[in-house]
Amino acid sequence: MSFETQKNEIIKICKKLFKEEGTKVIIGFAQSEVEGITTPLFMRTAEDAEKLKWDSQCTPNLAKYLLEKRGKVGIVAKTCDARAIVMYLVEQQIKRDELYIIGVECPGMKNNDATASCGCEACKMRIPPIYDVLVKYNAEITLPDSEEASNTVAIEDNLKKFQDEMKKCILCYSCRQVCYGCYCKSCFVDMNVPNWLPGEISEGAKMIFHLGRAMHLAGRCVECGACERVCPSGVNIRYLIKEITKFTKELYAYEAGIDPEETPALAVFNPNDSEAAMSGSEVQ
Amino acid sequence: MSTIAIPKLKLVEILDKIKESYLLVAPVRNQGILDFAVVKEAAEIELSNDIAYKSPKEYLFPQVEKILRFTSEGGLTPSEEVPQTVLLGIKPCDLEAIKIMSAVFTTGKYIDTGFANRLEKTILVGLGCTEEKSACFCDERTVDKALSKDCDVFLTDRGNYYAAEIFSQKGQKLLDGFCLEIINDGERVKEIQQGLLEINAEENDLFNKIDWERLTEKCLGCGICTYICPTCHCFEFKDVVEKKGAVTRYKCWDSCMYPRFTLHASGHNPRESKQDRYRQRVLHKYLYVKQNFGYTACTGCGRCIRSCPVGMNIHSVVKEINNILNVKGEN
Repeated sequence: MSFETQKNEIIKICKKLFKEEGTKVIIGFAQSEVEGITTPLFMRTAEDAEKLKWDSQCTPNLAKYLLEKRGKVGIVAKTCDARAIVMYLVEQQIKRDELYIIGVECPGMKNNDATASCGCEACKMRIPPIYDVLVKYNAEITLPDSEEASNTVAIEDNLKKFQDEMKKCILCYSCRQVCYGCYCKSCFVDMNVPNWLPGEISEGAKMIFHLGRAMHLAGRCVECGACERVCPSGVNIRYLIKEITKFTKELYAYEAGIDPEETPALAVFNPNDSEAAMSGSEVQ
Repeated sequence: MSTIAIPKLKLVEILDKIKESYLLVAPVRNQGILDFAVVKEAAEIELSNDIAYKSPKEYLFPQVEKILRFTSEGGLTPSEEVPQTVLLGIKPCDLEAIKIMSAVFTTGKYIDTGFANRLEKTILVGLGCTEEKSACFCDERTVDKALSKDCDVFLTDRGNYYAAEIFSQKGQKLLDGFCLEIINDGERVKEIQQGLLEINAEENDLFNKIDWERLTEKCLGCGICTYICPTCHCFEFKDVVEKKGAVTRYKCWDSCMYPRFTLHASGHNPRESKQDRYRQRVLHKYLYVKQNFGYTACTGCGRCIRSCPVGMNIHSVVKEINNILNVKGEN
């Protein structure tokens, strides 16, 4: 019921934006032709707004489309979309004044079997960190009560866990392509001078890619779960990045996609920063 | 040729026996995902109506294939030996795809020796579907979900046994010596529905009259569609230089969804944007392969639709193209 009232409110806002603000395009969600699959919707007229969908299946992260759009753009943003938008602002990839954010309080997305969607299982952030208008859920939301199990791997089992995950990877790079944070014009693994990866798909090649990507996402991952949802082999990719996110939070007190005014942890030098990252010692 | 009955109770025993002489590849469920894998124990094989997440193409056309190695002192080592393989549980849509890929790789002026060699050493065992999964549209392509003759043996679930139709000497040889009963399963004919999903239009119109930018607006270029597609077969070569003046040449899968696809050494790319690349994907499947080999290179397996993270749907895209051009599919 609450999804429904939220949806009607979003539609109303969209129609108003087209009429009064001259917004060219608003990005939202729609039902695809196949049941159980949600697809992004690019609205250009008030009529298009009627196709909008807002329910527990709206898992895609819409932020990446903003990199391609110019001019007045609107976006329906649940928490993780909004966090990605904050990162784009911080990294100066998009302009705030061209963007209208319809923030939507998110009760957490669900898979088709009613389990929490990838990225939602431990997310406690319901209100988007940035918005021009907020659409409240107006009903009780049950927050996940604890950190998920994958975060409790003992340090000595870490390497084994990582190796097991890597065995499944087929190096298709789809995780990179869907990631809001992977927008480099040319990725290090695609370079051939120098060749970062060996010719064959070895465990080493997979490790270089995943470790490299994880480091590039240090303090930047907004935990939208897009990488794991697209993975054809069910690799628990976020396991590694989550560790680094935790590390960045504990070491630099920085969390990605919260404050558009704050400089990201790895983009700032502070003489008072802990040496733990450099010396390789454990985070206390 | 003949049809024999394989009792389900004896299946594991027979497959374990086959495994002694062949590399056995079949659908295996691992952490909920059904996929083709080299079988360790025949009991782990899942022959069901469910379709494997990825197509079995990698067993004929590996993701990375070492083609040759040469050194500064001269000498050229060709690729390694291929084992005798049984590829079991291939659905009619994937068998159709193997037929299409064989046309590309093993007919005409240029023969891909690696592919031809693997195909020759592989026994294809098909398996019929009883119902379609969501997003399957093989009935709008030239595929009968319950029967295909483009294999060596084709299995049909008949309750407590599989009816195994044998279509080749290779298939006959595989099942010889198991003392299985020859049965009369009736005369079966491949049924093809009317109203095929096709593109019947000129390339010029397809290039100029379709707004590809709008059509591909939501594509993220993740390329997963090309990795799991049974007919996607683009590849590139990669030379890896080793320290001691030796070079290994690899043939690797390429994906038209990636920005590096057809990027020239000069820096120019004839397919620079994602709409150019997506247009290539659709037209390669629905126009170019048909022009060159007579097949539409889409078998309706629905994998790309089910796995797309943003709900792109090739079936709808082709329909929309036909609507725009007002060209009806072949009826």
